[in-house]
Amino acid sequence: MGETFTNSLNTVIKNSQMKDREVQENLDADDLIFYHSIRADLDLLKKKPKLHTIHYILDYSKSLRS
Amino acid sequence: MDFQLQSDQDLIHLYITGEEAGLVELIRRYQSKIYTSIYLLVKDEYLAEDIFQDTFIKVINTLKAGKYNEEGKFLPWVTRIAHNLVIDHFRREKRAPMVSNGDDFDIFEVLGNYDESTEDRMVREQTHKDLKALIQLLPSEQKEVLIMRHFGDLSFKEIADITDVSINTALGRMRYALNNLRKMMQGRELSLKN
Repeated sequence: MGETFTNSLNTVIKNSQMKDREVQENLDADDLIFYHSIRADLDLLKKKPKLHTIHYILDYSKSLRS
Repeated sequence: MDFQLQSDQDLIHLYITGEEAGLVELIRRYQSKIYTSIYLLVKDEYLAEDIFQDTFIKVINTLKAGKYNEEGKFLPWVTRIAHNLVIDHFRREKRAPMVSNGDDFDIFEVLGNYDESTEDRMVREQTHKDLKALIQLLPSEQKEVLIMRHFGDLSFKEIADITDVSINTALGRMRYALNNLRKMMQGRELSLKN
């Protein structure tokens, strides 16, 4: 049982490390720090499409049903 | 049914089986990311609206035809469609993208920041404009990776697939983009929030 537990724990740790690696995906520490420092400002650039564009898309979808 | 709690895959299934609200929620969930990705690449609001619209018409047609098979990967799939439409546009035009003056008024920006001082608001707006301008100065491949990574929430593997390069190339482009942005900001003594 002890061995099973150790194996399971190792798997969990390995998966967690792999996920961390995927998140960072090999960007250097300096790059990551800089990227995180500008994230909030990048988010300020977010825009939404106009409402009539959304309505056009939804109307198009509904038109295919009838 | 609370559509906001449903996974993308569930919403797609609901939509295919006749529930329009599934599509409404998918658009609500991703409109900002997809539209911003398109807008920052084409730099023209009207063109971005058209490409956004065409992107979702392709999405609808594919879903209705039962051809969607990318389980759990809705955003990368839609981003790929949008990216291809942007490339098609530039191929058709065979010219540099139009430059918009970017001075469009957004009432929600004003409403969302009513407690800012005039000076804070001016600094924020200037920073916003500066950062947008600096992103536009990046070489197109670097800009593309930065936009897909940040606004599209795509992994470098997904970006590599979409742009048809290796993961290392996609990563290298992101590094260059960040380095170039940092240098340009230092050169202009631009300081951001953090």
